[in-house]
Amino acid sequence: MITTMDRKEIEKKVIKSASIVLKKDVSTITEEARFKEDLKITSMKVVMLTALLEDEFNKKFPMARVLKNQTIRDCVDMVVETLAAEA
Amino acid sequence: MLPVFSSIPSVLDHGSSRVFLRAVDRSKTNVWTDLERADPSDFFTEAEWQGIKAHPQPEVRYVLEWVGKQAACQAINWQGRGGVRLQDIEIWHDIAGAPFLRASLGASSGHDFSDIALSMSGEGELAIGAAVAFLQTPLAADRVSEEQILGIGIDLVAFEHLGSVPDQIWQIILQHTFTPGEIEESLEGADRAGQVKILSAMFAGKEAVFKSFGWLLHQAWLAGFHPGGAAIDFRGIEILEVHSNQPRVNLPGGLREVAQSWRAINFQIKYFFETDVVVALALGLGSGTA
Repeated sequence: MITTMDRKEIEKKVIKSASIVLKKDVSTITEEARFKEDLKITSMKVVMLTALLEDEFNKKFPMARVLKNQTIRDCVDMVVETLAAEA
Repeated sequence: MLPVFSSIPSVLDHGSSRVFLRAVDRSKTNVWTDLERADPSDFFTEAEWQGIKAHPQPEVRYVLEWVGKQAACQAINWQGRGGVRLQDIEIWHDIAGAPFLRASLGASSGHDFSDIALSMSGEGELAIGAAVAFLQTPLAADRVSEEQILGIGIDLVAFEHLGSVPDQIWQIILQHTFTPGEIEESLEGADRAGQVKILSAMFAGKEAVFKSFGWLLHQAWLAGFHPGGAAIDFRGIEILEVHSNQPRVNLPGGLREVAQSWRAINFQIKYFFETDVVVALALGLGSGTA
């Protein structure tokens, strides 16, 4: 079962990965940040972020699911759901 | 006016089909400023215009829709229906994000334009749209001819994206995005810049094939056919021999079965290399069987 602490840890890792791909300081990326509007993410960067998350969590995230993410929070939810489903 | 891309034709014939391509460089044409001065209803429907204005980057959305509509109009009129104007058609996006055409509310043509496939891609100041008219709606037909285009996808990638990937994540990006065969082929590049160029082309090819899948899925939905969600992974689309006349498209991860269920058995990629970007046009071709 995913605890609150686990989710916080996942959030930190997602934001860290996003900061590397987007070349932004982690302090500038919040869970509410919207990928397109706030972070100006491109499709190439989406794929890069997915690669980092797959490496970080050792899970595969189908593109169809990844493309539904509109915010960092959605992305965290995706990871939480995937880890919970396979736990 | 100088062509936006030196290597890209405005039309590309494949068998009995003709693909129309339209490109815009915002840094050269200032189309957004021109549009602000013009009446948007000459170009867009009210719904499209509202969508453009509400978009966080309206000028980006505008050029993408503009190139898509331009290419689609040419395809429709080439098909012989003639006289269709930009404001007569409306670009919609299905739930998977694939663009498709609807007749605008003001149009009296009666067409639903489900036999026009289109795809758009933007990168920085550049945008390109491609459209093709089908002689018949592929999934509504009992038989589609071999080599008939069933779906198209276009993608534009600037070399700087992969070129600026930090060393700390370079190998991770490679391992999770490209197949071993693609990585091996990319090492044929004379240096890192050469490798980046090859990998960027492969990436554009994957995206273009992915987009052409989106169109096929949309067609399947229109025909009441629900093939199920395909877990598309970028390593499930392998592009090899990018510098040859006929780059190879392999679908090693089960996507081939999905494609075949939509009557597409073969994908062709056409590449257009420019100084800073590469454009990939993917054609999903028919199986010839019901």
